[in-house]
Amino acid sequence: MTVPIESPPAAGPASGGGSDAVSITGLTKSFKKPRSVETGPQALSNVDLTVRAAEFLVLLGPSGCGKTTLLRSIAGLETPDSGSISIEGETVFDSAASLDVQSRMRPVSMIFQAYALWPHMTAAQNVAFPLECHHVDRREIPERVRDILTKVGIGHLADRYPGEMSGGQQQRLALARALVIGQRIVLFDEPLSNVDAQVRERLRLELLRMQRTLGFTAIYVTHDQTEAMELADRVAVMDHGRIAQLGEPREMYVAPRDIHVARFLGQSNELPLVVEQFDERSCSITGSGPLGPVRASWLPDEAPGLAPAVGDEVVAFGRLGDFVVRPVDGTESASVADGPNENTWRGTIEAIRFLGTHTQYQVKIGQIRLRCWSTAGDGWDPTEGTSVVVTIRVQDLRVMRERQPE
Amino acid sequence: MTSVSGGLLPAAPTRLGRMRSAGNRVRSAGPFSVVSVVLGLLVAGTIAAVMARLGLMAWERFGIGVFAFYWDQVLANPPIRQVVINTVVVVALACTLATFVAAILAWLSERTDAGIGATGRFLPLIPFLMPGLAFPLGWLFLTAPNVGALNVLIRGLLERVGVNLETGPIDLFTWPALVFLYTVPLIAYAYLVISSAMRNLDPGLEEAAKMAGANPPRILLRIVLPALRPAMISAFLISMIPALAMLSIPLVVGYGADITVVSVYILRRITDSFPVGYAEAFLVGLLLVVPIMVVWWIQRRSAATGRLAVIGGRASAASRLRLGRRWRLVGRAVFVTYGLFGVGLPLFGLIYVAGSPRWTATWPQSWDPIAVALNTLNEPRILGAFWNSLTLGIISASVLIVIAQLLTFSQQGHPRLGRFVDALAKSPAAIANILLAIGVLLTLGGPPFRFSPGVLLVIAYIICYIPYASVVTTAAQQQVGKELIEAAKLSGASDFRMLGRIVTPLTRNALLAGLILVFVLISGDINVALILASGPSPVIGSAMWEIFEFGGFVSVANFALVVTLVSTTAILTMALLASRSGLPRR
Repeated sequence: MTVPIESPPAAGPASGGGSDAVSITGLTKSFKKPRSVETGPQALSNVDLTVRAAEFLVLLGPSGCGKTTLLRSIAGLETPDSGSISIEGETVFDSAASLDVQSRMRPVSMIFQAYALWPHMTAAQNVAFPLECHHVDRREIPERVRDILTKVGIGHLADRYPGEMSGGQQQRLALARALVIGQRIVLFDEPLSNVDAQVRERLRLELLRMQRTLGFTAIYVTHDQTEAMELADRVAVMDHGRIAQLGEPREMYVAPRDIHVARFLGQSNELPLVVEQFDERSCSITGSGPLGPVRASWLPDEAPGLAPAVGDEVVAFGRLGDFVVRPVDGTESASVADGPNENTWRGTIEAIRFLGTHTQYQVKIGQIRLRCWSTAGDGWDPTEGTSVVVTIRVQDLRVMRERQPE
Repeated sequence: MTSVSGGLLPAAPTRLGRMRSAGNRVRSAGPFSVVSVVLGLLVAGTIAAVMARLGLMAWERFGIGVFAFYWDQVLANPPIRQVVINTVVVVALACTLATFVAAILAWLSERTDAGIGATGRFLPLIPFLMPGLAFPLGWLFLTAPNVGALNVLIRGLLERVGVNLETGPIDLFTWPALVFLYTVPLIAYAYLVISSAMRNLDPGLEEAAKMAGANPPRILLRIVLPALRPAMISAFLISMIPALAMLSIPLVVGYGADITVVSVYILRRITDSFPVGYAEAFLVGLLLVVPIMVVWWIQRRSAATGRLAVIGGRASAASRLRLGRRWRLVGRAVFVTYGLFGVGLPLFGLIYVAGSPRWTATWPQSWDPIAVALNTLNEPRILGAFWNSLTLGIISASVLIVIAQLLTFSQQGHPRLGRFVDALAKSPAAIANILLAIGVLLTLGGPPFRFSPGVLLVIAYIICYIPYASVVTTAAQQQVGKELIEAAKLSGASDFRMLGRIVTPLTRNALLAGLILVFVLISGDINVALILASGPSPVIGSAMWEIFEFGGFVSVANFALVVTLVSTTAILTMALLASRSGLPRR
């Protein structure tokens, strides 16, 4: 446990280079069970993370994965058990040096889930409060408040109370309050989770625009993968207190390194397989499952030393958009794993849902149901009960191992 | 990507510069921690010293035989065992009823269209207007079996139809009447806690239940009350504290009904026995610790679940549930009935006797309350008692709320120490106020302190009423969302600034309500008054007791009437202030 100390800390070895906004090394945190001396499962497990200056980093994951704990640890609202955190080159937490800088002294701001705007203060008073806390010259305060409110586009609402503002205006006010003191790192704790879908999309765009214009570093927690994809320069997918994968949204979507990441980013069909043949040279696997023989690809560099062996149980993933649905033309032979008709199956459409940008078909193949997306406007208009052929390319069907429970 | 230097943010070199130069950049004890720890120790130390003094008396009297005392003289002693059982039964019944009725009143007033505006909010405070002895005396003058005004009236009406009764038909000296009289004033205590939680409950819960087809009683019983369980438990606790220490009602009613409770037993051991049985009174009074601690523990557990209605950072417009004409009438009838039982009828009892030459079983020939009241007010000792109570009440209540607010907030920074101080602050509730007053007198009235009677009174009031203030400030601060505090912390606010600029303004209504509660309790107190203010500087409680004992019923009715008018003025003023301090809403 970290013991508070009085001595002024020095920039530790964990301090990142000049362009790192936040640098985290080996961060671990467990919560005690209520009214018990026992500790629960680790909320953070040896987390390493570097956030670049002025980037928009999204911490993505399901409830309880540790993303909010990580954010609150950066803010100083939680005390980790071990590890270190540096902000703008300054070490603010280091368990080895028993250093734990108070949250009010850390150069970060935070925007909370419900914005946490003080309801008894006007917009101007909300924004002025951090300036007063930092003993800014009282004569300067009105101008700085006016300036930041104008920059976020609510200069005309300075005398309104938060309760008299719309959701979007409240978000801007929260941002103005977070930025007014000059903090270049803003932490966001699921600020859009209570907003309806349309407003959420608008607020996301606004937020992104303001981040680009004002140039602050954003660390944003969410469980919404669409939100993550839309906002992030980089996404860190979290699972059971660790970072499962960190990368750019496209890279994460196309080549997830982990079964958890694959499941969390985008919708997939999952086909359980037993490996029958593994071709190390072409990195392809032939296996058998409920759909018969299937051929899928394997990315060896992302899981070194874990290459599947014959007889292993694995899962083949395919994004819904990568499955192609077409009419039966009589030339294909169902259930083959090689040749021109590999990964091709005959089935019947059970349900059709038009989803605006694409159509989703649910196709029954034997006892298995696959969901497939189609965006083609080729005039083909099947109905429920139509016999179809479903196919997917080998390179679009990725094999991964089911993770063993920890 | 936009670079940092290319951004439009205000310059921020000061922050890092300040961080580097700041000596207190690590977690350490700041001035707030020092002040709150010193204050906590001062309060806790005084309480501990007073309790230790009482304990020492018991030890000097019984030594190791203290445990044998509980077996031989309490459990194996039928009269005292009966006193304990009586207390537990009457307090449990009255607090349960009071919490339930308070929840109904708060719901009708705060969340439905049956509320009768500002009057509805004020109604549950009405019992506070009849301090100490005034309320049970009002009911005594009304429903004493032989000479009660209501009984005289009913017997007169029955005579006209040929039914002749010697006494009754209403009898105040019974178990149900005792529970009823306990319940009515306790409702007000419970209401203060429940109504503030009710105000912040998400209206969506009720609307969803209504859409699901629930009628108003079902919405209240199945949705609202379970959602407010922590506040209900707090309300039960806060009503239990005065119920256990209640002296005026069991003194007036219990004697006639032959029902003795612990508070009356203690008073008799101290005033009617020689040598004075301080030790026995203290040890029997100590038994009341058990129920208080059980309910307090339940309250803490309940608060720890976090299922509380809190003030979030996003304000929304509150909407009232429409009950429909039939249920609205039922709701209004509940208000009227409560108003009648709480103040209308007992006030009538006081006015009836106050204006009569004497209290008899026949209607008086002449009746002039104003003349008698003016006579009462002209008495210098009574006038002095008014001023003393007013001044001491305002000073003590203000000091109490400030201390409780500070100590409650300090729990955020020092949870363990805070819990300890919180437990000590609530512990006087378990000890009868009369015993605490004796403890204060014995500990601080003699050498080396020799405090003046005024100072002793303020200290005794602080010790006796800090549990109320502490429960009020705890409930108030639980209503403030954690994120609002964290946002202030991240803005760089010190603890003092957070308390002064965020927590206190957001809890202003509850604090004002708490101030009213404590002020009225202190000005109506008779427990402390009888021990510390029976000399040349009386307060209302001791002066009224003297008149009750020596001056007769008519004089005491007049005194109680004037006290009620003064209390009403004070409470109306403060309630108006409280109602004007609401937060701006959309």
